[in-house]
Amino acid sequence: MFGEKALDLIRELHRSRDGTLGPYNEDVVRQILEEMQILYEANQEDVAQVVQNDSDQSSLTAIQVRHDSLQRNKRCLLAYLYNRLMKIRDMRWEFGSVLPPDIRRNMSEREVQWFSNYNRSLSSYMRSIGPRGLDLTQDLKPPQNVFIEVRCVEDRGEIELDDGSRILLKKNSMHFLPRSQCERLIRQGILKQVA
Amino acid sequence: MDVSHKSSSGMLQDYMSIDDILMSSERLPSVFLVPVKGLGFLDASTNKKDIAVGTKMDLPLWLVLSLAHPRKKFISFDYTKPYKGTYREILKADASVVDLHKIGPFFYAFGQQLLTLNHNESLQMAKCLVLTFMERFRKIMDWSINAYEHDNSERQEKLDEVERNLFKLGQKSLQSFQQWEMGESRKLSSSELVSRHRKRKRDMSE
Repeated sequence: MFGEKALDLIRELHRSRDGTLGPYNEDVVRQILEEMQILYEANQEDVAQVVQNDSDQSSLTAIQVRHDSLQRNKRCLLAYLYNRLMKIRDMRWEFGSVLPPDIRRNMSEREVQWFSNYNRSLSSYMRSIGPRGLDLTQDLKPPQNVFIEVRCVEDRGEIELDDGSRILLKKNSMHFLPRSQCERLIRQGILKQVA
Repeated sequence: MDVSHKSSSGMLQDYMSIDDILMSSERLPSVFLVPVKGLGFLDASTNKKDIAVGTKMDLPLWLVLSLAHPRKKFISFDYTKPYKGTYREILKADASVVDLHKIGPFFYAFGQQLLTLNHNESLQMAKCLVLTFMERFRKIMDWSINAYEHDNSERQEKLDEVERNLFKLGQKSLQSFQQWEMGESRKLSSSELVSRHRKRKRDMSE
């Protein structure tokens, strides 16, 4: 049956739906496009013949089947690309403007481009809010305290805060820090808020 | 922001939905009412160049929706077992014990799509879908908001996709409530996507 490869792509997406982005399957995409090319050319031929020879309508069903298969392949390809992009978009909000290298490796050239365009649009939008801009990726929950107590989950070495002071992020070390500095690190799983 | 696993809630499919694409790939027993020139290779049981009139094949729903359309009539089709008389009787007897996931994970969605085609059992099938859902829904609602997933995982296995999504919603709201009770909702947390990613990295480096 036509459209089997396309279905494989979708199954791939379905399997990885709770995880992170899988590698872009360039191979299968190409095979689907090849199948579409074959279907398209066969239909061009049959349609030309039907138009020329009005009395011979015997190819009509085959033309319909190929046409439906083309539409099906198209749907699967678009859904594959679209769903991956939505995941990449979500990653901007979860990981920040720089993606972990192992995720980036799984993206196609065009997807990387898309991500940087999205980044740019988001930044310029955020800059345009109010007199000084507003970082929408911060304060996703209403802030309760100015300072919070956090524990470090893994060794990250020394980092510098906005006011210039340095802290050493050693595994299991506790810190009492301004909320605004911690939010990003907590989101990335490096720090964990303590009660 | 998970758009991919929304699925159709009616006669219209969601074009980009992964679930809808998987659902519409399920097959129906069909018979060709006209010959199909040049596509004989689709029929594994014959070496002929064309598909002959009367050939029986299991065709995917996406193709049946087009070929069996009342205005075209290239094929005739029949429902699969879960939607026919015998099974409908089983569901009428006691819908809550049936394993809807096993007989086709998209029981309701696929059934709804079948209703867009003419079939002499469509009225009974439609009633069956509604009654089955009504009977099972109560239990699902109760389970999902009263107990945690590990207690319920066995029950979850017998649910079809629509029911599983409802179940997840119930669980999520139970979780949120309990977190709020404990004051957890005021704490910042790392996102789920990030935690899973780090876990996988840790597992891989071990």
